[in-house]
Amino acid sequence: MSSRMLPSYTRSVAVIATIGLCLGFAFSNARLDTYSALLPLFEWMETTPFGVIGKTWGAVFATVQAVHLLAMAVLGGAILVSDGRLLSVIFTDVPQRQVQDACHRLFVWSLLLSIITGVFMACGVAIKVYYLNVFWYKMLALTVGVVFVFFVRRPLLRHDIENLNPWVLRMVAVASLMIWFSVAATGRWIGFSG
Amino acid sequence: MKETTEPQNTSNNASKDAQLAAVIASSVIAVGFVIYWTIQIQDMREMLALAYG
Repeated sequence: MSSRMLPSYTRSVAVIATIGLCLGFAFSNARLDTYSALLPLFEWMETTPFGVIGKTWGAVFATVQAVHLLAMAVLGGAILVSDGRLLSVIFTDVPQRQVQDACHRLFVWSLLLSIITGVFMACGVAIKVYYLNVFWYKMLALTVGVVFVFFVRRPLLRHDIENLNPWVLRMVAVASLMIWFSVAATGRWIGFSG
Repeated sequence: MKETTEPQNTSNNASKDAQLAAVIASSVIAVGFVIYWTIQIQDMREMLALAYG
């Protein structure tokens, strides 16, 4: 019985196991050990060419930051449109599949661009952000958001959307909005900190 | 008959699994969101009370 049941709920079991592992990590010494072990990496980041350019030429940092913000704006737009469509609030006259696929493509490219520019920006202020709690909350929210999109949301939407439970779709849309709101808000908070 | 229903069953099971995974992940995200932002807002209110009385 269990061997027949388990393969059909692999994704759910994987989600529960991942949540368990994350909680175990968060409430154990492993979190503090990892935090301490990451300090040399952040010190090294400031010495890389990216770190030196970011610290020396303010104009380059500002330009990269502008690209980062534009990428975040596109990312936010893609999320708002796709989640708005899942909630049946906007673009209700356009098929779900068309909206979701177009938004996902836009999401992937803007995410890549924002990660690349984000790494460059972090190199310039690596030691500062290392000691900021809100930076780590942003990284946590970003990781959860990316994992949620690629391992939960996207696989769900690959199925026939019309046959999925509408309440599940609404839950996914609300959770997605919550997580990406947290990414944006904590990201802006980094700018106000230190 | 069996050839047509088996892929359908597999697809239904996969869909159910994906939906259950989505419900679990979404619930945990919603709970985490509420806890995080409640703590942040409370902390901010305390800081404002300390600063302005």
